[in-house]
Amino acid sequence: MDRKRIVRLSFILLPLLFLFLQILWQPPSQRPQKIQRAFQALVPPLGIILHYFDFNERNALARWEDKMFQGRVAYWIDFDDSGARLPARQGFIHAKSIGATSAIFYRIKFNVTDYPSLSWKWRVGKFPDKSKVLDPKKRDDFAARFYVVFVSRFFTNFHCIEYLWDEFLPEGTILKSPYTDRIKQIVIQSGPASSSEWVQETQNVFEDYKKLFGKPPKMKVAAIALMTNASGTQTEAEGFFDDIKIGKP
Amino acid sequence: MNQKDRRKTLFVNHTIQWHYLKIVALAMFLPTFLATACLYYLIWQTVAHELALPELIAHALFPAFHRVNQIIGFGLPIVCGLILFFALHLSHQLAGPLYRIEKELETMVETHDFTKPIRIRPRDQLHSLVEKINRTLHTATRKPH
Repeated sequence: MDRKRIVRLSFILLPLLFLFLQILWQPPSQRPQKIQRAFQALVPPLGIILHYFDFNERNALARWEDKMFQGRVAYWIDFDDSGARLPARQGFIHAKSIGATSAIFYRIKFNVTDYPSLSWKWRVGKFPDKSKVLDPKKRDDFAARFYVVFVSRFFTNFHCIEYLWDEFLPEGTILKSPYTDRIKQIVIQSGPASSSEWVQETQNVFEDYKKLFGKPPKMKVAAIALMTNASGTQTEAEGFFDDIKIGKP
Repeated sequence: MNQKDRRKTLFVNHTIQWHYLKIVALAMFLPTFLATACLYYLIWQTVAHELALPELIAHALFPAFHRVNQIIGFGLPIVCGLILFFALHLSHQLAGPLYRIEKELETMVETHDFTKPIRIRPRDQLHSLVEKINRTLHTATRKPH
């Protein structure tokens, strides 16, 4: 065996030997946990993705349901103009509301204790103009919002977190939904529209739920939804969404 | 209906009426409640599933849900009362004649008068049994020629 190979092998075997001795050093009752922890330390942390929506196919919204509240918002798959050829084109959801409110809804069941991480990219083309509206229900218009819906056995027992992008409200603002206390809204992006730059969001839904509802979730997530709406203000709004990932960090 | 045959009391203190009252009431209550509960759950859940969006559920479905619950809140005691009344009435149609037969036979034994036939209300059950008892009594008390 040449010297190079021995050096390479020693890089693998010596830490393993060290690990083995360390495990032996522990009292027998603590050895299983120690072995588990040691292996966890050896294996690089890999994020597990439960579901990934890349929206690169033209029919990527086929399994998303349209849910109309007041009028219909146009949601479609758009592609960037980077000039890439068809197979490599990057698709995204383009949403445009002209005085309408409707959402796209994807039913997916998972436990946030198992898959707490939710990430997506979004940007805003146009915010609804709320300057002339005072009624809280009419002010419930946002250019981009992301829903996580928790459902129990009976429909009255649901909870919902809405992640919002608002033009003026500071990040971290928690809003009460004008419809029910079971919906909690949190502003996670604030500021003016940037039509070209995507903003990456990563949320720990489990922690957010605890923060917003004051207790850990008992219900499973039943769906996620996206919405761009402007029916309350009777103005226009435009939002873009892409790369939604549900998983664990 | 003859004034004499009108039911004055709907409950005779008889274990058999309790027994039939329980059976009849259960036979009415159980299907009523099961069917209502299933329909209630199914209709709301289906509508909520279709609406799906939390705001939409809160805005459109919650007011309707509260209204229906109010109607049920008022209507359910009336339905329960009606079911109980019918259960009592039906169980009395069976327990009433039994109570009467028992009472009449007891009087016959005490007075040694077996000539008076047992009479029950026309709409009561057990007519054929009463008729046979009366025939037996008539045959037994008939003087031999």
